[in-house]
Amino acid sequence: MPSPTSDVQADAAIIRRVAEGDARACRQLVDELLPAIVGFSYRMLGDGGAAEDVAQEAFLRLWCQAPKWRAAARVTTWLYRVAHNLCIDRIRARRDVPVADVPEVADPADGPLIHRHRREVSELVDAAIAGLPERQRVAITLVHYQELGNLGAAAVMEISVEALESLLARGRRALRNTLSKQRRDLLGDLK
Amino acid sequence: MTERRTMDIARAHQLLDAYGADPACWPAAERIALSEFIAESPEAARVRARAATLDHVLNQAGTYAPSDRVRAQILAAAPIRSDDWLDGMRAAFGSLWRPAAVLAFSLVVGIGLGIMNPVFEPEDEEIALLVLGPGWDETQ
Repeated sequence: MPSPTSDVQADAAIIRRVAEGDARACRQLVDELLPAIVGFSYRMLGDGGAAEDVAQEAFLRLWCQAPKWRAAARVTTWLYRVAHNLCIDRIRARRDVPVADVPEVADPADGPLIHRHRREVSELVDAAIAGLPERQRVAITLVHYQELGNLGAAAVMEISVEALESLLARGRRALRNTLSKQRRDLLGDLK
Repeated sequence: MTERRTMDIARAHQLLDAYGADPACWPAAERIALSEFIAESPEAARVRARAATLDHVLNQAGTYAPSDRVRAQILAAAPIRSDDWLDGMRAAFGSLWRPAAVLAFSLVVGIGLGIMNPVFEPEDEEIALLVLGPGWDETQ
C-alpha cells in the first residue's frame, strides 16, 4: 500500500502538470474525482444541479490553485474540503433543502411496482440523511458513501478521528431510529 | 495512522456503531483485530449484523452521476496550454469525436455511391410500389 506521503507527492506531481497546462493531467483529475465530488455534494444538498455547480466551482478553484500548490494534502482531501465548505454555505443560505427531486432512471428490467418501491425507499433514506445535523451528515457521507476512511474524512472535516467516530455513531443511531419508525412496513424492523 | 488499541467488546461496539459492518470502512489500524474479535465473539457478531442491516438500508439512497455537460465545462476552463489545444478539445469533447467520425464516414460513402451508381429514374409503377408497398394495385 502506498504511504500517505507518497500519495501526497504523486498528487503534487500531477498538479504540477496541470499548472504546466497538460491536458491529460486535467482530464485524469476530472475523470477520477468529479464523480466523487458530485456524489458527495448531491448527498449534502439533495439536488443534482446544485451538486454539479459545487463540483464545477471546486475544480475551477483547483485550476487556480495549481500554480501555487503546496504538497501538504492530497488533492482528494482538498477538493472534498472545498466542496464541503461550498455545500455548507448553500445549506446555510437556504435552510430547507429539497431532497431527491432528481428523477431516477428506471431499470427497464424492473416492473413498475418494484421501481416504485425502490424509489420510495430511496426517498425515505435520502430524507432521513437530509434530516441529520450538518456535521453528522458530512461524516456519514464521507465515510459510508464516499468510502474516504477515517483519516481522510477527519482531514476533510478538520477534526480528530475520535470526534469523527462520535459524529458517525450519533448519526447512524439517529438514522436507525428514524428509518425504523418510518419504514416498518417496507423494510422490516431495523434492530 | 490511528493509535492501535486493545480490542474488546466495548471497542468493537464503538467501531461497528461508527463505521458499520463493512471492513473496508473500518480503520486500517484496527481492521484485522476487529475481524478476529468478531469471529470469536457472538455478541460482536450480533452487533455487526445489526450494523449490516442499517448499511443495507443506507445503500438504497439515491445517487447522482455528473453529466457530460459539467465535465466539458470544467475541462474547458482548465489551464490547458495553447500547443496542447487538440488534446484539450479531445478532453472536453471526447464523446463527440466518435459520432462525428461515423457521420463523416457515412457522408463519404454516400457521395461515393452516388458518383459510382447510374442515375435511377423510377417509373410511376415503381414509385407506387415503394410508397404503398406490395399489393397496392390489388384494391384498384
